[in-house]
Amino acid sequence: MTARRAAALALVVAAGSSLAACGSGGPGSAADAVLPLRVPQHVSVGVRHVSGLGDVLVDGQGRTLYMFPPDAGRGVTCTGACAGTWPPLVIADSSAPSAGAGVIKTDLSTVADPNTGARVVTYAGYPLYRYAGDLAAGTANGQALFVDGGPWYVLDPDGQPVTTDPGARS
Amino acid sequence: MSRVSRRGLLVGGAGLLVGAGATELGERLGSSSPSAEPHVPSPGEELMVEHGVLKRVLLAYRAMSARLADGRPVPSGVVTDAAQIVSSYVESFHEGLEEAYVFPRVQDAEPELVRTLLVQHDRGRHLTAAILAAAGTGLHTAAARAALRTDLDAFVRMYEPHEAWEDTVVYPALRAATPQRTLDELAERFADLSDKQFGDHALRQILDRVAGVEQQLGIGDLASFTPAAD
Repeated sequence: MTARRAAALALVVAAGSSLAACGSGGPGSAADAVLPLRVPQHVSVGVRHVSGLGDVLVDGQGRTLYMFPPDAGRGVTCTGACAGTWPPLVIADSSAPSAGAGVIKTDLSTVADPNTGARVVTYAGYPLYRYAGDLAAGTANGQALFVDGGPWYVLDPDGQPVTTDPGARS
Repeated sequence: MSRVSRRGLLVGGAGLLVGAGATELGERLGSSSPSAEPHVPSPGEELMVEHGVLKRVLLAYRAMSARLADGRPVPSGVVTDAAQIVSSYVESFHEGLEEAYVFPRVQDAEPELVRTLLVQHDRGRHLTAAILAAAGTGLHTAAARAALRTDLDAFVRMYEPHEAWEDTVVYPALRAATPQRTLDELAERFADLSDKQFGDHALRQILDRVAGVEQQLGIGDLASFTPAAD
């Protein structure tokens, strides 16, 4: 871990400790009959340029991926209703995510998902989520939104949260 | 049991009986329901009660906008209170439930409608962020007040039809597409998540917060909306 990343992580941990957790303990069963969240065998993470934010991490369909500061040091805290707005990038228990161009393969890993009982893909230690309001590749409508108990940020290919708020009025 | 207390609000109607005569009517309803078993609200009922909370906040937003149009003061604190109810209860919780459990089940039947609703959820969250930011400035400038009024009006204009379409199209579609057993499981899930996220008396507490906003804006008395008789 670079010094820059360590500093960023420390900042995020501090922010996370002062923020309410998202959701509060959703279902933990792998056979959650009422949560229609598909758990694929194959998941890839890539990089895409988003206007105003630069190069950011995306899923295999080009959908922007986000991190959630309250997760720092605690794993996936976005559960229940939160996981509807921010669906975690889930992957089957026995699978490993693949790295697209520009992605640091060694930064990819997984962590337990309390929503499905499967795994959630992480990058530089951050669990990854999509945003329900991103209906097409190349948008980042969730960037810097403060909902579900904290802010949501895209990640650059170095694993750094991008905290630019494109909606801020000067 | 906490779940019963929440459902008691829904079933007994206490959450809906705010204003003059509520106590008397609540007692009548309570006394006419001798069953010891609480009725379990369907997912649609739960979501529509949450829409009722949103409707009352929309009334508050409309009252704020009218004050701003007339050049009357709107305390920034009441704007913040109302927008925080929207952010935490409506946008984070209610809409999250829809996005997690409802929309995937009606996606095939109503794909374009679901897409529009998702776009509107996103627009709403951004409008709320702007409303909270405006309130945070203290509303000391005419420009800040004008921007706030524009955002309040946009929010009301979008969410009145939004929730009407959900009540009349999406929730009936959910019921039509979902087996009764799954509907029952969804009802249990919604109640459990509410209890875990907001505590045992979530609806009562949210309604108290809404009532506080209404009182500050002078719209706390339901009877004040009744037109005068000829």
